[in-house]
This record gives sequence, C-alpha cells and structure tokens, in this order.
Amino acid sequence: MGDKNRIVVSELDPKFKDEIANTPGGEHIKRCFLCGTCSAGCPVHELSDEYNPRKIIRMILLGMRDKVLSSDFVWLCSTCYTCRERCPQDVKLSDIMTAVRNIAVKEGHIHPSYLAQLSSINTQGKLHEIDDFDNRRRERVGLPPLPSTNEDSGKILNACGVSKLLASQGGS
Amino acid sequence: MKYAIFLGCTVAGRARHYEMAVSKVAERLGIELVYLDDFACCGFPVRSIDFLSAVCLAARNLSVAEAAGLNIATLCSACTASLPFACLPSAYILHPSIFLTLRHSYNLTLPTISVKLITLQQED
Repeated sequence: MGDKNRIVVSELDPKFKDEIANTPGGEHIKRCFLCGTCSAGCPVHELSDEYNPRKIIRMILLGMRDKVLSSDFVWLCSTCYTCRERCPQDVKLSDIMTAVRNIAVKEGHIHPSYLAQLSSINTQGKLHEIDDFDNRRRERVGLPPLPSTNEDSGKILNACGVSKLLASQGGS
Repeated sequence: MKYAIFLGCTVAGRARHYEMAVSKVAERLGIELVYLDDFACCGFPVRSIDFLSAVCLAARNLSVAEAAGLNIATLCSACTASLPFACLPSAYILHPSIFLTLRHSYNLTLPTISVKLITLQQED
C-alpha cells in the first residue's frame, strides 16, 4: 500500500456520519455492521470495482468527508434497491446515497448527467421530451396526446433554489 | 373503478408498448384510466440533487389528482416509489412559496395539502 491509500486520522471528520444521519434518507447509516451483503449483490459493483457500497459506508463511518463528497463513485448507484432489499440491518443504502449526493451538491459537486436531467425537468417538466412526432405516433396506436411542457415543475425547482445550479454550473 | 393514470417520463416517451398493454388490460378489468394533462415528473430524477425538490414535485402531482378527485395508478417503479415520498415527515417543512404555487394553480388550501399528506402516511 502506497501513501495514496493511507488514511490520516487527523484529516478525518468524525461528525460526517452524524451529518449523513441528519439528512433525509441517511438516518440508518450507523446501523451498518459491514457484512458486505450490499456489495455482494450490487449489479454496478459487478461491472466496476470503483463502486463498492460497503467501502463507501466504511468511508462515511470513518469520516472521509472530502474524499466521499468529491468522488465520482457516489453518482454510480443506479437505485435498483437490491442492497436495500437484502440488508440485514435495514441500512437503506439507496437512500443513504441520496443523502450523500444531496450534501455533495451543496458542496458544489454534481455529476454532469444529473445536471442534464435537472435541465430537462426545469424546462419541460419531464425527462424525455414529448413532441409532435411522439404525439403522432401515440395517435397511430390509439393513445391520447400528451402536453409537451409543464411550467410548474420549473417554478417548484426555482422556489427550492435548485434552478440556480443550472446557471452557476452552466448546465446543458 | 376510475383512476388517474400517471405515466411519468419514461413510459410516456420511451415505452409506448407498455402503456398500450396497460390500456388493454384496464379495459378488460373494467378500470377507467383518466389522463390528467397537469401531471409532470414524479420527482425521482431530482431526488439525488435535492430531496426537498423531489418531495415538492411529488406533492404537486398528488395535488393535481386531488383536484380531480381521483386516486393515482402509476406504471413506473420509480414513480410508484417517489410519489409517496411526499408523505414523509420532511414533506411538512415545504418551502412557503411552493405551497403558494400549489395553492394558486390548483386552488388547494395549505391544510388540505397537509391533511392529504398525513392521511396518506397513516394509510401507509
């Protein structure tokens, strides 16, 4: 193990786990006894060692705040809920990832793909645009047409102060 | 039986075949599905960015259905999980301006929205 992997205790933030526990979704973080059931069943972990749920929880419990929040791996969870389903301690890992990401966003870290999703919802109220082409195809198979935009979604995001992420980070 | 059908983003844009199958099955079962134009994103995609925004988007959709006097039938797993998020205790601390949006657009009173959320939570 090189210096890169050394954990310096003085650089740790012991209150990070409390911060997570006080964020919606992260309440059960301290229940984890690191059995590894989450990592064993995780379909993302199977594809990439970069995403390892047990390791992420361990990092949070140790207080590796900066490393966790600035990492790419917190954005890899696909929210399939396999870990949440199997966890013997009901840690609710999928929701913990939500809590970690929420804190990461507040610290200025956000994955571009999530910014793109936010942008779609901000402008049209939906992830995938429904245009005239879609509505013609819907009509052909006997389905009613759908409106292409919804302005309220943007208003709500604006009121929550999320829309400004798009402006400040130049979201596409 | 009559339900407001909540398509969400993916089914409407990417999975028309699923919607077609649902309408056929509903017809056979004698369920009437009502399309409400005001439905928008359930809030799930923004949950990772800001939990409160997701809860508010979900609450707005519940309000749309309430204004129409209908229960919601969802087709997508993410929407199904996301809409009840508006029933979590944290939903009670909604931003005042969001309540205003809900109130002006759907003519709902603040207590109506809260009571609706509390009832849903108790049923859960």
